[in-house]
Amino acid sequence: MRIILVAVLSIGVLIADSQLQLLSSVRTAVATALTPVHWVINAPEGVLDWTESSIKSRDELQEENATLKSRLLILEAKSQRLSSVTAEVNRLRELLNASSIVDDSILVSEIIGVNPDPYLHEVIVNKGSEQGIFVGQPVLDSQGLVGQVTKVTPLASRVLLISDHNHAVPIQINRNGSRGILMGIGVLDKLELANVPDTADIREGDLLVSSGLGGRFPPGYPVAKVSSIVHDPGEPFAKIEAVPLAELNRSRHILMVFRRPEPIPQATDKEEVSETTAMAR
Amino acid sequence: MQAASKDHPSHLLFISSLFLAFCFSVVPLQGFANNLRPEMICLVMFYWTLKYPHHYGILVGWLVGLCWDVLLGTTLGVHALALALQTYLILTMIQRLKMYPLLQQSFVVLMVVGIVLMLYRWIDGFFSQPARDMAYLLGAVVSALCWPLLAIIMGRIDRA
Repeated sequence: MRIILVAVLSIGVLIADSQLQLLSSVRTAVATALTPVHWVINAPEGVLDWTESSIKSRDELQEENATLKSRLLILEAKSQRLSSVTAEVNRLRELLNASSIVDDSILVSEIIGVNPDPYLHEVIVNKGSEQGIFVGQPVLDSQGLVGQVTKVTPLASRVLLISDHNHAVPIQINRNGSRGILMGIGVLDKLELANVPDTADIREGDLLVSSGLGGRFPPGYPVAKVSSIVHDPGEPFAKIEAVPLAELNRSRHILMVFRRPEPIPQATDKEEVSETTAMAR
Repeated sequence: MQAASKDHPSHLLFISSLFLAFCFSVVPLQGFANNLRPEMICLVMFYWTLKYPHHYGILVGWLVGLCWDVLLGTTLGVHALALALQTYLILTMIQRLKMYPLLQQSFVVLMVVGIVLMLYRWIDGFFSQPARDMAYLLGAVVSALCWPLLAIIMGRIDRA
């Protein structure tokens, strides 16, 4: 008898959670109570880190310091050029009456857990709503786009990776700007470009960057590199695979992106409308 | 093993064994090893229900399953229903199950955990992409192989 009661209760909870989003407070409370589980799992890593940092010899530290300094110099030099280039791009965009590119602010966070489900690509990071993380926030690592935040608790949040079955990113080809949708297929080092016609101008090695369409991911972040293109005459679309640039299964530190609100473009409406209608004709 | 069982379980032991099982179920594993992870939470709950059916019944199983859902970030109620079903299955055949030798119990574990995993995948398939293959059932096989060892160790600790 009790099993029927529990089954009905489960179905009620399933619907309340998945369709009506009523139980987030229950989830948050239980998740906070279960945080020690993640502490225990990360303890060995923490001990390793601590021993490594406290046992390192003076020579090693000096050497590391030197390499880091030289790396910093190189990056600074590059960023100097970048700032002048950004300024120039913004000037040109102003000439075109388009909104200028704004720097996004970024919060570094650490991966503290991986979802054990082999069919789900999801990681848990150590920043939550207390640090301002929100659902839908884009996540990067030093190489490229990693994914987006799907669940937030006060001290931790879950990030769905771009390689997951349920994930898709709107992208454009960096070389010529043509757009597409990059789908995860449940394999960590492979993504698929959906519905690309056989005649599209795309080559192996093309860089795919986020297009910003859909409003979730900021435009211009590198996502993947095209690795193979197969034209099958029997299929309506080409089969295009890409390799994600982000180190999805290796990076330990990832970056949560906070977008500053973009300045509203002062569009000269009439001109633009007449231009587009003219083009449509 | 059953002869020495006390009437009242140690709640502290129950909670600490469950805590360890929770930790074990989210330890990151690489690649295919992920499919071979024994379902420690199922096994631990199997032990407690088998030994103290009056204390750890369907509702306890359901609540533990709810915590499991939160830990994995799945839709609330999926693991809860699966674990409640496991408890129910054990309770329906508990008289025989207690008489079985460990190896025969292992076989029942294989069946029950297999059913739990299939039920979980089936319900979860409604809310996200369904599983591509049946490799997840290997978890039930590994769980069955782990059962005798777990039962002996837990029995020792419980009696002490």
